[in-house]
Amino acid sequence: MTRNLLALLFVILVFITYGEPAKEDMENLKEELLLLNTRISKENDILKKKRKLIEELKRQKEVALKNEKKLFPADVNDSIALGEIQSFVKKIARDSGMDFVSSNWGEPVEKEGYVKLPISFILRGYPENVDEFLRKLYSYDRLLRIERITIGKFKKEKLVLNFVISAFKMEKKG
Amino acid sequence: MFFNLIEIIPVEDTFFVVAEKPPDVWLSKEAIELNYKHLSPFKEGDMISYQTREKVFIWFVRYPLVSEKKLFIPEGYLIFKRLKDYREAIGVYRKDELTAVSVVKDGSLLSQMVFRHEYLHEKMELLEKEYSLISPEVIEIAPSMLKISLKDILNFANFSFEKEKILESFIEYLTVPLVFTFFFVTAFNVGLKKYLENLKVEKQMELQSLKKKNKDVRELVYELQEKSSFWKNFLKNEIKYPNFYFILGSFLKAVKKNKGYVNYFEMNGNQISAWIGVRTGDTTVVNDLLQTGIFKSVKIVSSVKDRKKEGYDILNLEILVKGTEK
Repeated sequence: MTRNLLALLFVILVFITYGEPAKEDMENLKEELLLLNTRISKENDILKKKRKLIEELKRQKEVALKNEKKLFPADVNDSIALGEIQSFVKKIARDSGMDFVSSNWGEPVEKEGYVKLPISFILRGYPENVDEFLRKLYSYDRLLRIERITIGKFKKEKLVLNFVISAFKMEKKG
Repeated sequence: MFFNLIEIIPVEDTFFVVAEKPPDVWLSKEAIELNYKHLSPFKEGDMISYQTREKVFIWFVRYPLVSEKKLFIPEGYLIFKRLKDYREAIGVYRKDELTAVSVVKDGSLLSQMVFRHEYLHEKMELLEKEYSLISPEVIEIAPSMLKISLKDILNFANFSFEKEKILESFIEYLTVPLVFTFFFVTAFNVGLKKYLENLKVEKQMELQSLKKKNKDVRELVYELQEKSSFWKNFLKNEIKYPNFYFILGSFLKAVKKNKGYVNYFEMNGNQISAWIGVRTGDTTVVNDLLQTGIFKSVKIVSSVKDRKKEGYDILNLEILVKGTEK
């Protein structure tokens, strides 16, 4: 009897030590395999459609890069960017028949992933000059945003424009 | 396997005796042996007993019951079990050349005897007289009618079966199947686990290989996700309202439609403050401005006569521009 009992206890011990934990591990392994199979199936789907996907993604990337060109590149110095904007505004003001009174550079403001470059102007001109000027302002290669603007009367039907515009620059990564 | 533990003692190997005992007193095997062993016709035999509240039924066995691991049930008891619901009955149990006759009265077994078939009739008459039976029912009992219930096992286990031996018997009989089962289950679980682990490694390698093949797609996706996230954030923060040229154009158009003029215009964020001249009493411009769909609200803050232009009022308007986000 003792021998039988010992044999029984031994197998029970072996079962508790190896058999039962193995069963628990199996349940976890089954779940992991299920997840792996799902991921493999997804990767296979991607592989099948890879050519089309890459074409589509590259097209989207081109659009994104085109949009990014509306912002100054990250490696352009803030002063150079502000100077470029100032020159552009001065030029279109002159081309539109507006009088350039003054301009002031604002402090660049760091935002999430980009830098805001503000600059203020005071210009004078007739209503038709203002219209032409504003149209030209929006034809600039870079994105400009009018933050605030005041249009008031000056002498002899002339208007005075006092406005702040912002251009944008990509932020350096890292 | 379980039935190997039970042995039925044939009725022809037993001698039955019934005795009175003090009510509600449970006699041990030793007490029964001490009090009634002398009634046995067998010198070397053994005994099996069964007790009710007032009686003790003893089957003396022709031979010693040697196995300590077995449970012994007398066949005579199983015959009695078939008869105990009768008021008066004589049970006839035929077996080979022998017949066992049992006499039952008021649910109690009075006698159980075994003899050859040819003496059956006269023996039955004798028994009727001996036990004053008036009109006993004669019940034929076939061997197939004898059944063992759990209650019977428990009844006889009390006396003829040593409970401590049960565990021993169980262990003896069950060790091999249990050892085999535990080993099989353990080996199966461990083996299957190993198989699943190997499969997992294979699948991981397959996934890695596929990921490598799709690396360029994934990199492009990440890059685009990054760009998309940037533009979403940028548009949310910087392009909240339609562009100024469009707003101003719509504003001037509405004023011009009402033959008015603009003296002053100021815009900061989505707030516009403007001084416009319109014909006295005419506020249609408010409606026209709202109809452009660009403005969320248009309020006249104040209105005064234009001293420089006869028939015109100067309105101070406060306007809110609608956002571009839906």
